[in-house]
Amino acid sequence: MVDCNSFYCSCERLFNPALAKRPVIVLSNNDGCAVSRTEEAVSLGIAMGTPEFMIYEKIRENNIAVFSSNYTLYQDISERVMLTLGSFVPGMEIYSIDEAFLDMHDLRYEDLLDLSTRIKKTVMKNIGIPVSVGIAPTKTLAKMANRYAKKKHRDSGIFYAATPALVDEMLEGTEVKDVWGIGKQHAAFLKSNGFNTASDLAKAPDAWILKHLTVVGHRLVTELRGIPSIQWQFVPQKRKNITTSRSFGTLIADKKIITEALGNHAASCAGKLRNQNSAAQKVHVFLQTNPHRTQDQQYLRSITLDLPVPCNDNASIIKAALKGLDLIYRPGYNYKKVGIIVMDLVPDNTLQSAMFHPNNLHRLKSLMQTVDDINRMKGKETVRMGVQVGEKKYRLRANHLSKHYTTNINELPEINEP
Amino acid sequence: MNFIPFEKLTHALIDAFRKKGKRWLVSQTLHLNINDCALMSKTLILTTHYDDRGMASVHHQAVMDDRYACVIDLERDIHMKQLDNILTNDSRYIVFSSLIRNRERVEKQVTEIYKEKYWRYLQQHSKAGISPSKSLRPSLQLIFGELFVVLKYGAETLRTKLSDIEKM
Repeated sequence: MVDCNSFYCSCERLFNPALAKRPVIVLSNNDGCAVSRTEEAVSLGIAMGTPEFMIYEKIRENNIAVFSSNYTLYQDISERVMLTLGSFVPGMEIYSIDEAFLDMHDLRYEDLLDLSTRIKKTVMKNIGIPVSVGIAPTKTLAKMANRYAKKKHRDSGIFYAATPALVDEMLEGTEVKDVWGIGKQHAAFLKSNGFNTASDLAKAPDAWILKHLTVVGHRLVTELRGIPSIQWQFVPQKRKNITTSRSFGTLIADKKIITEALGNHAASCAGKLRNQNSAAQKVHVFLQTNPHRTQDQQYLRSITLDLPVPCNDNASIIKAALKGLDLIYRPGYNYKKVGIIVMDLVPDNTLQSAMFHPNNLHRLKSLMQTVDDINRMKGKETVRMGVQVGEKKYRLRANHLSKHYTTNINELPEINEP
Repeated sequence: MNFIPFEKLTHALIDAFRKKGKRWLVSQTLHLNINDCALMSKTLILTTHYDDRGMASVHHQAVMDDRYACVIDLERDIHMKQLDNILTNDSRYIVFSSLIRNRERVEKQVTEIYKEKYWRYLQQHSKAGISPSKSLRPSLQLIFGELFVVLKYGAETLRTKLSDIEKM
């Protein structure tokens, strides 16, 4: 398992070397909470998920660099990291934007310690992102080894659980709540039953595990014992439903702005559907106020609509979404969020038109292909539906947003000679 | 059994390491099943060479509990002086380097020496019906100073310590 250290912060540091020793945090959408922190920020006592307004003083006093989430930049850097990692092994499973499992089963003649050092150095040299490496016989143990490397072997950033003694050391040094796959509820339950470390869990009787943690828990325990039980997913699985939703930058009551936001979310959803060659049979729309503003009247409604035929074109998805919005929108509320979920996905090569459906599926497919090609070549939203056009007053708050250094020609980093 | 696949650490070898930039040696006890009186009366030490301080550090941390675990810097006089002391003939130690000059020859030797033990091990630890008439080509791996054998048979791969095979 290779994991990028404080990934979002590392991406920001990459284009701003002056931040090298300075504490850095990256905030979640709408500049809400700290979701990524450098070691320096952690040592100042900034906990994961702390809202910005609660640490405002600390930020000022300690000269902490604050950034809004710049997912375009992070995704691009992530793709570069993954491309580099993939060149070292025959198989790789991308687990998240900053983590990947590398399959080393077939590297019989490879010195894995040497390999992990080369991986660390190459990613640092080619991309500039620091990574930690955990090597172990199973995915669960590898994830644990990675965490162990970060916590106990910070100087090298590598933990290779090569021998049973080292696996035992790691299991004994890991609390049961920190085991990959053990949630809060299960952690509390296990703790109350005397399981303190991962080692305790690995030694638990099979019958007890099957009874209390089901077959999924048993699979996890088997992995802790060094027997691979979780399948590799070298090709990302198709999503079963796709959600696009965002909180508004400010509270919004105007239906026109909400319609524009939903139109853009629906178009984005349709694009994701086409990317994975799927079509949706249902569209779910939801609209809500801010539950944390107790002074406001609260409203939360959602609706699911069947589409006449499964589709993935912008026009049909947007039309259905706006129909849903018309049905659930009530004036007089300060809305915080609108979103769309496309559900019951089917492969788009098996679509069959309905007898009375006016659209020609083949022509629609060609049209969307052309629209996607133009947008890819000329820039996002060059061709879009009328409802998507507006001032985007709903846009997320991002007061500390860095530039799109790697994806926008106008925002390339500049080097000024002294 | 007196099978020791490693080379003895000599001054010539040390000089070669230094020239190649492999200035870090990680030392640890060498555990082997031996019945040679000359060897049994001494403590066997194994050193592993690295050109990277980080890798030496990872290895050192992995064997931290070993009494003789330490990182030797070949560019430091004080370390070299200690090393010179334990490399003398009348020292209580015999020091080996994890360098294996001819891997193929050693693997062939290991295959010959432990042939029957491999089969016994596979019969006990593998569910695959392995025919003794088939030849096995085990490969050796040295991980943190410990020798492992990789036994591949069909789709099945077993990795175990050489010392476990020796016990069979």
